[in-house]
Amino acid sequence: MTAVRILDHISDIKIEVTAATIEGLYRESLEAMSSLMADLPMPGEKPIGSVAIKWDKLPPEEQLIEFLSEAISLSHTKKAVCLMEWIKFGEKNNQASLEFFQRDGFKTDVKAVTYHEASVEKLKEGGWRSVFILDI
Amino acid sequence: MDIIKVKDCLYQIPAGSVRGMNVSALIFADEEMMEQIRGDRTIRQITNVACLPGLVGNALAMPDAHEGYGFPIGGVAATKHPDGIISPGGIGYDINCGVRLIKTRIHAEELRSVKEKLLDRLYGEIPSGIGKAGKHPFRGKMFDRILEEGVPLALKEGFGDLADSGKIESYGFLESADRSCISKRAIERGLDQVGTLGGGNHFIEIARVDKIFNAEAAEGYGLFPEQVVILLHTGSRGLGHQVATDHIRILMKAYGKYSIELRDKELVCVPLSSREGQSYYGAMSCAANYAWVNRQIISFWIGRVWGEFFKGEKKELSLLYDVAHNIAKIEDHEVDGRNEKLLVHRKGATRAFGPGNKELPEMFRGIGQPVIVPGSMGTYSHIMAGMGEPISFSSCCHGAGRRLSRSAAKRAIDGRELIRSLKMDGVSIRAVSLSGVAEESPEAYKDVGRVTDVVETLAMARKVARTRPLAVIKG
Repeated sequence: MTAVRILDHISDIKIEVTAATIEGLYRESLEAMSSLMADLPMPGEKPIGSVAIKWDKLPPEEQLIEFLSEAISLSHTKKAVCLMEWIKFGEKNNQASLEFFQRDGFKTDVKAVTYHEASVEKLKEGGWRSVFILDI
Repeated sequence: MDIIKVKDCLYQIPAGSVRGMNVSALIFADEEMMEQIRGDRTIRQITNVACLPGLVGNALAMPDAHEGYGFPIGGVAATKHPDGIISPGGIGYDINCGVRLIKTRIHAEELRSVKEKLLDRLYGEIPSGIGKAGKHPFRGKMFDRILEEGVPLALKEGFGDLADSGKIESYGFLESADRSCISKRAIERGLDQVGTLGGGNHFIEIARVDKIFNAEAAEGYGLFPEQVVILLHTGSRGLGHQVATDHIRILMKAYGKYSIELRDKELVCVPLSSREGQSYYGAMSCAANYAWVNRQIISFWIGRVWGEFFKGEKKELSLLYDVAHNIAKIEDHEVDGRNEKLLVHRKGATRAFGPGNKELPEMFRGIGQPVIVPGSMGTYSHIMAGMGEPISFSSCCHGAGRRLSRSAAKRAIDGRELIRSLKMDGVSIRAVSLSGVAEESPEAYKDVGRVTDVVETLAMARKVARTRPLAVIKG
């Protein structure tokens, strides 16, 4: 049930992601954002490394924004595109590992992920949906 | 919701029309612009701004306003100094994204034979696109000093003419800059990006003055018909983006203790006088200084390349002015007949001080501050003179304003075809990507002439001259 839709937004990029699980939602949200920034890794492409990140338990949308913000910052400092290796949701905080793939430059200057009308919700029919706006 | 037409080009949404609105919202627009504004979320966003605590006057949407996040693009709001709030959402992530105009001493005709080679050299010399390193990164203590001292230090280091700093808003640096408020990661992102253009809507444009509206003001600004000028639009790059991200995170944890309620989390705010407010303001000021230095360093390299093609007095370039679009600054304004110190947030808006303003250098006190209003790569831009309109806290538009979303522009416009048709119209393009060209096509923007008509009708600024593009580097 994974789906990514680019919603209309006049100046920036608004993305809607649906996935079967919360882990899948994080994975797909990151992949949607990374694919805007640079070409995603080809099958078999070796990562230059991985980074474990940890962030506080927050309201659902803030938690996703924290995760994506960290990925943007690290992608820019490492000049690399990243994907999620694994994620663990804890009582007080969350942890994830991001894998990085070197890139010469970026296609789109994703400056930040914003809190404006951001949402993460569990769907009645099952699965999860996120909506967030990237400042480009 | 009540939207009252107060007079031509001025609409008001009275305080209280939407639950929580503490002040009225004013929208500066003609009827057609108003229709566009009603078609996106600008009105919802400006009424959200009007709900912020402690605003002075009105929440304002400039004529080029359109939907953004938090504040709309083209949003302006002022708060009392020092106890009013500061909101990073009223500034944006690209802190001090702004534009400057460089004057040359040549006529457009003299450029014709060298235009393509000049454009190639500029494109080769100035890093554009995202993730590209600059040619002269400042390191260690010098980088820290650039953050705190801004353009005057870059000039002392030989990157331009010492007379330039008077021709930059706030003289190219904010004293409030505090390096200790900047994270290691922000430094890491900014270290090698000084002197880089970046992507998105950032550009270098070589243009010619094709119309003079006000001969006296044009002469005062050193502008003449057919003069070649260079516009440069860029900001604080990754450093500014990280400063905003870091401090929004801090403010999200802090705003509750100041009993602030938010209609939009992107409008998170704290009192400027609070520890968190002071820390953000110190960091934002560093990012603003960085952006001014970035534009100064790029201008220096433009000058170097220019000198390869023109000799003698034709080699000389001089700055008309450099204005910030995304910033919050402490300024003196008249409120209810009294002079008050305010923190003015401008997000996608330009300061437009009028004649006599003491913050302006002597050379502009008679005419008013130069206001540079870029259009799009296929139309034209305007040079205006600020008139210091009190109701807008001496603010006006920052550009044409988007009409189409980026994805709609990409769907409707073929980048390769656009480059070809612009070439037929005498506009040469160098760009990192074809899709980027399509996103920034003239069709994606409102008519800048109508935007500046509204600005002039409301006496925010008056038209001085118009420029048409000849060559554009799109980041």
